[in-house]
Amino acid sequence: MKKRKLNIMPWVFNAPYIVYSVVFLFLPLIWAIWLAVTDWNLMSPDYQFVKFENFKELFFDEKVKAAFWNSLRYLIPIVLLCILFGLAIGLMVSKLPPKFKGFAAVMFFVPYLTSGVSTSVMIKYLFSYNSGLSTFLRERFGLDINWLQSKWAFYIIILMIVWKMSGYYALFVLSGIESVSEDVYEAAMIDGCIGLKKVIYITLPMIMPTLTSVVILAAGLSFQIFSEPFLLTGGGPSLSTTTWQLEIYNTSFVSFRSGYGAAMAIINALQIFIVVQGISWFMNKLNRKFGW
Amino acid sequence: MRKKRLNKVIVGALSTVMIVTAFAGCGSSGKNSGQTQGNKSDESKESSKVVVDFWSAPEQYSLDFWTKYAEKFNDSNTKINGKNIEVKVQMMPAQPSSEAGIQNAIATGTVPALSENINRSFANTLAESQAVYDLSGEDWFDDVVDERQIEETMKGWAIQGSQFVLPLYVNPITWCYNSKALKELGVNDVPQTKADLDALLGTFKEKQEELKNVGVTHFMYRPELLNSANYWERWFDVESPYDAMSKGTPLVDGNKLTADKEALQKVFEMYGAMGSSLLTGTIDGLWQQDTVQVVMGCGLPWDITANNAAGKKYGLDGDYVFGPSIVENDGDTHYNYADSKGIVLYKNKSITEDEHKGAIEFLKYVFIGEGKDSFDLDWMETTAMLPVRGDLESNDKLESFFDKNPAFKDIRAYVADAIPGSAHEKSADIMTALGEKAIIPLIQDVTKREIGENPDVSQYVDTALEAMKTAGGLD
Repeated sequence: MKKRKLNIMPWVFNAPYIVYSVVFLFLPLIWAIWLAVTDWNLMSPDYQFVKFENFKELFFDEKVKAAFWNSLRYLIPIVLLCILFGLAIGLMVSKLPPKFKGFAAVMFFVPYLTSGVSTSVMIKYLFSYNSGLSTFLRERFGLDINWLQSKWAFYIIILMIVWKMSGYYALFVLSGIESVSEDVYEAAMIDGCIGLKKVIYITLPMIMPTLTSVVILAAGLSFQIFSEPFLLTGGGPSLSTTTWQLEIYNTSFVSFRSGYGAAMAIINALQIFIVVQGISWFMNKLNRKFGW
Repeated sequence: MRKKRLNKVIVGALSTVMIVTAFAGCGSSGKNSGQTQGNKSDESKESSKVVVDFWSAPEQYSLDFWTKYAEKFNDSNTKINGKNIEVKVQMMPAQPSSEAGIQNAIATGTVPALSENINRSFANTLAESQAVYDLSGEDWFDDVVDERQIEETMKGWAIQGSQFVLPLYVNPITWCYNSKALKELGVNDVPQTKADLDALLGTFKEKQEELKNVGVTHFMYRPELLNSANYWERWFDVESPYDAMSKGTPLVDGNKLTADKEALQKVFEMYGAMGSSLLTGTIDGLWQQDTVQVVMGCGLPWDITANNAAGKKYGLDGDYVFGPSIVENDGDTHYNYADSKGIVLYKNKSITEDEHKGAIEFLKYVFIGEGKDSFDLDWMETTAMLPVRGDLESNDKLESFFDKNPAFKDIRAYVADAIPGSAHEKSADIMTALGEKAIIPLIQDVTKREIGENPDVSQYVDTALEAMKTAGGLD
C-alpha cells in the first residue's frame, strides 16, 4: 500500500493566518462564550457560573431592545444614503479629467480619515444651544431646538456617518466604474443609450458586484456605531440613539457586568450575521438578475 | 534522504519563526518589559531595587506632578529589605475610560502597585472584587489621617466599615451664579436657603423681559439633564441638592435604600418651580461665554481655571460667584456632593510584597514624610483642585494660594460638608435608573410649564425610589 505523502508546505504558508485566526478570532470567541455564562466582572477572583441567565435577561432589557431596533433604524438610511452619495461622488469623479481624478478622490476620502472623536466635538459645538446656528434660528425664526436632546439627534448621527463614509465607498464605486470597458458604452451609444439611461442601463448593472460589497460593508457599519452617540448623546434622548456597541461598553466597563456584556456581544454578532446573510441573499439574487 | 531531512528542518524552522513572529505582538507590554530587555548587568541592578509602579490620573499635569514627587522620593534612597525603592510613574490608560483601563490591568495582571483617580463608587467595586488593600487599622494610614486632620472626612469614605481609599482631592458641587444677572435682579447675596432661592426665582419671573435685554434668557442651566446615559450627572444635579435637603442622609447605605423621600420631593419641587426657565440644552463652557444666558447653574470647581483663561472675574462684582448648596432653613448644614478621588493600593498576584511595601513607603514620604510640607500647595498650584485636608481654612501654608484665587477661597468653605457618592456595586445602575425613570420625565414635564406652575412631583418621587430599588436590588 502506498503511503500517503504529507505536504507540509501549504500549512507553512497558511500558518500566519491560522495562528492569527486562532489567537484573535477563535480564542476570544470561545472566551466570550464562556464569559457570557458567568457573572464575572473581570476583576474578582470569585464568580458564578450562571448558565443562560445572562441571555434570558437580555430579552427583558429595554436597552438591549432599543439597541436591537435602533441598529435596524440606522441600517436603512445609512445603507441607502451611503450608496446614493457614494454613487454620486463616484460618477462625478469618473467624469473629471484624469489629472484631477486622483486629487478629487482623495478629497472625498478625507472625512473617512478624520477621527470620530474630533468630528463629534465639532458637531457638538455646531449644534450646542449657544452655537451660531442655534442662536440664528432662535433669534431670526423663533426656532428653539435642543438638537442633541430631541429626535433630531438620531438624524444628526446618521448625517455624520454618511458624511464620513460616502467618500470611502465612492472609491469602491469609482474603481468599479473605471473597470467597465469603453466598448460597452460605445455599443450602447450606437443604440441611443446616453445620459441618465447610460447610468441606469449600463453603469449600474456593470458595477453590481461592487455595489453589493458597498451595501454589505455599510450594513455592517450600522452595527458598529459607537463614538458618535457616546460623545454626543450618550444614547439618549430616551434611548433613541443608543447602539449595541454603546450598551456593550456601558454594561461591561461602566456597570462592570462583563459576563452580561459578553452575552450582549454574542447576540449582537448573531443579529449582524442574520442581517448580513439576508442582505447577501437579496444582493446575490439581484446580481444574478443582471447576469453576474 | 539527507536532502529530505534538510527540507524538514527548513520547513520546521520556518514554521517556528512564523508562529513566534505572530505571537510576538501578544507579549506583555506591561510594567516588567523594561527589565526583561536589559542586559545581564542591568538585570543585577534591577534585582537590587524594588520597582513600584504608580499610575497617575490621565492628565499631563497629574503625570508631571507625581513624577516630580517620585523623583524626590527615589533620590531619598529609601530601602526595603536592603533594596532601594524606585517609584515609576505612568499615566493610567483611559481608553475607553480609566476605570476600564484598571479593570483590564487587573484581569491581565499588569495593574500597578498603586494609583490615584479612584472615586468611592469604583473603590467599592474594587473592594468587592478583592482587588485593593483594606487600609483601616494600618499605622501609617492612621498617621496620614491624623496629619491631614481628616478623621471626620474618612467617615464618608468608609465602605462596609473599612477604608480602602486615601482621599486626595475634593470638588464640592454647589451652585454658581451669574453676578451680572444678580445685579440686574437687585440681589446682593447668593441664596442660602430654599426661601432665598424662591425669592430669586420670583424676581426673575418679574424681570424676565428686562433680563432678556442683557442676554439672560433662563433661570437655571443644567447640562445633559435629559441625557440618560450620563448617570453621573445625577450626582451633581440631584445628589448635591438632595444631600443638603436631607441633612446628609445617604440615598443608599449598604444594600438598603435609605433615601429621605421628603428631601427628594423638595429637590424635585425645586426644579418643578422653574418651569420653562430651566435650560437643558447642550452648552459647552457656559461660564466662559461672552453672555451667560442663565442666572445660575451647578457650581463645578474645575470651571475656575477655564473661567480665568477666558478672562472672567470672580465675585459678586465680577462675572460669576459660587454659592453653597440650598438648605431648607437658616442654620442647616450645607451638605453637598463631593466629587472626590483618592489613592488605592492594589492587591494582585503580579504585585510582590516588596512592591506593596515600597508603595506604602512612597505614600508615607509624600503625606507624612519629607514631602508633606510642600505637597498640598504644589498640588493646588499644579492641578487647581482642593486637597482633602481638614484644615483647609486654617492652614497658613496654603493661604498664599487662596489669596491669589478668591473662587477657591469661597469653595473651600464647602469642603467640610462635602459627602462622597454612594458605595454600592450597582451605583451606576441606580443613578441611571433615577435619571431615566424619574428625572428625565420630570424635566420633560417641567419645561413645558410656566414658572411657578409646579407639577405634582410626588409621582416622580415614588417612581424614582422604586426605580432605584429595582436597579440596585435594594431592600
